[in-house]
Amino acid sequence: MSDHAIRVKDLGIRFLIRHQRAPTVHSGLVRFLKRGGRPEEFWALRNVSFEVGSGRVFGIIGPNGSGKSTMLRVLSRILAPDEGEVELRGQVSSLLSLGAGFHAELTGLENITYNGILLGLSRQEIERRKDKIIEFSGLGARIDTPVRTYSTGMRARLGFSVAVHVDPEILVVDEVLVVGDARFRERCANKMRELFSAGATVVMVQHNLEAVLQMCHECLWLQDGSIRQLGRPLEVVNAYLASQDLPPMGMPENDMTGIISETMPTVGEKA
Amino acid sequence: MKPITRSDDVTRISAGQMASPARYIKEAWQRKSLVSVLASRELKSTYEMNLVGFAWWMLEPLTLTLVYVVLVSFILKAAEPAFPLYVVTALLPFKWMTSSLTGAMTVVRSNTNLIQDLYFPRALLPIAEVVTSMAHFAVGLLIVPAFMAVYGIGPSWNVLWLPVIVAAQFILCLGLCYPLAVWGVNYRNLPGLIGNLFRLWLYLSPALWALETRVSDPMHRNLIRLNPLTGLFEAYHGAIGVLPVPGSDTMTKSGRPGWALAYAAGFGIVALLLGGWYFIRRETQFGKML
Repeated sequence: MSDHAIRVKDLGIRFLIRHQRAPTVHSGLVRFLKRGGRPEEFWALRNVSFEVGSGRVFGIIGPNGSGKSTMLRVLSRILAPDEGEVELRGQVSSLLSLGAGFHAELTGLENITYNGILLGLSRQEIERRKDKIIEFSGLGARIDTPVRTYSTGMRARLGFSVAVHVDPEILVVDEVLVVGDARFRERCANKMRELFSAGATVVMVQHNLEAVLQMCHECLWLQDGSIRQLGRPLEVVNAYLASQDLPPMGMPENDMTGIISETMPTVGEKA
Repeated sequence: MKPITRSDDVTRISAGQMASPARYIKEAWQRKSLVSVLASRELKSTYEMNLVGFAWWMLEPLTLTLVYVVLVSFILKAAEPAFPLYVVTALLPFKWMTSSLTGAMTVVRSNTNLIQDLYFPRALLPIAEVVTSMAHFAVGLLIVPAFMAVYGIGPSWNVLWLPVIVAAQFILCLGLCYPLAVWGVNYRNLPGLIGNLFRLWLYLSPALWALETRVSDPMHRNLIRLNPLTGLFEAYHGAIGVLPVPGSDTMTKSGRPGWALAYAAGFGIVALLLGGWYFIRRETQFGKML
C-alpha cells in the first residue's frame, strides 16, 4: 500500500459562465429555441496532479482567483472533477468558512450536534466528544446561548473545535487558524500537533506565508488554475514572493515543523 | 487521544463517474439524524410548534374545503354524499404532496451555505422536506374525526390501512421531489409554474368527485387511473368510509385499498429510483450552480 493520503491526477474543474444570476424557466426555453451556443467555459483548475503523503501538512498558496478555494472544495468532495480523478484515503473533515453548518437560532451546544451530524458523526459519538469540544472552544457558559449572539471569533472557535474533534484522517482548512485570540491559537497548534502525531494529514490554504513556513512540510503554488511550483515551503514561498516583486523570507523562529518532525519524516524524504 | 487508524477506506472520485449507490446510501445512512434535525429546525422556525402555527397550516385546506362545498354542493349541486368530509380527506394529503414538492424545489437554494461549505449526501435534503410536510399532515388528520362525527360516520377497520396508504404516499412524494429539486436549482422561477399545474392536477384527480359515480366512459376512466393520485385518494376515501356507491346516495363502508393503491406505490417506486438516480448524478454540480 502506498503512503499517500491524497492523490490528485489531471484534475480539471470547469465552470460555465452565466451572465444571469440564475436562469428562469422562460430564459431556458428561449435558449433552447434559439439553440443558442453553449455558455462560456472557465477552467478554475486544469491539469493539476499531486500527491500528499499521509501525516503531512500541505500548504496551498497563490494569488486571489488562482483556484485555491476550488481545490479545497474538491478535496472536501463538494465539487466533483470534470476531468481527472481524486483519491482520498480515510475520512475527510473540512472547515472552509466560518460558521459553515451552523444554525444561528440554535445554541452553541445544539449546533455542536447539528454540525457533528453534518460532518458524519453519530449522536453517540457527538455525546462522547461534547465535553472536549466545549472545553476546547473555550466558550464556557456562552455555549448555551444562540450562535447568532456570537462574535466572528467565537463562531470560528466553535467551528474549528467540532472539525478537529471528528478525529479526521484528512483535515481540509481554509485559513481559519488566523482567527481567534492568542490563547486559542496556541490550543489549535497543540491540537494540530496531536492530530499530526496520530498520523492525520492536513491541507490548508494560507495567505499568511509565515504560517506556511512554520507549519507545512510541502507547499503548492497555484496560479491561474494550474501548478506553478510544488516543493519545500521555503523555496516555493520565496519564488512566489519574487514573482510578486516582494523580498524573500527566512525560516521563522518558532518552527512547528521541527516539533512535528520528531515523529514524521522530513520534507523531501520519500518513504 | 486515540491514534487514528489508517483506514483502508478509499474514496475515488473520477470525472464522469457516479458514486456507487451502495456507498452513497451508506454515507446517507450515517447521517440519517440530519433529516430529523433539518425537519425540526424547519418546524420550529416556521410555526413555533404552537396552536396558532398549526391553525395557520390548516387554513388552506379548510378554506379550500369551504370554497368547494359552496361551489359543488350549492352551485353545481353535484356533490358526493358527506361532501365536506369527502373533500377534506383528499385535500389534506394533497397539501402534503404540494408542500413537499414546493419545498423540494427550493430546498437546495435555501441551504446554499451548507452545500457550498460541507459535504454530505444532498439526497437527505428532499427527504427532510417530505418529512416536514408529513408532520403537518399527521397533525392535520386530527381534524378528520370531527368531520366524521358531524356525518355520523364511525371508524371502520379500514382505518388500519392508513399507515400503508401514508407509506405509499411518502414514496410517491419523495420520488417526485428528486427531479423537481434538481430543476429547482436550474430554474429559479419553477415553483410558480408548477404551483399553477397543481390546481389542474387536483381537478383531474378524484378529490371533488368520485371516479365511479361521475366518469362513465371507460376510456376516460383508464386515463384518470394513470394519475397516481387517483388510487391514493380512493384509498384515503375508502379508509375513512366515504367512497360513494354508484347509482345511490349512499357510501360504501368497505373501502379496502386495491390495485389502484398498488399502482400509486409502484409509480412512486419507479419515480424514486429514476429520480433518485438523476438527483445523485446531478448533485455534484450543485456547488457550481448556486
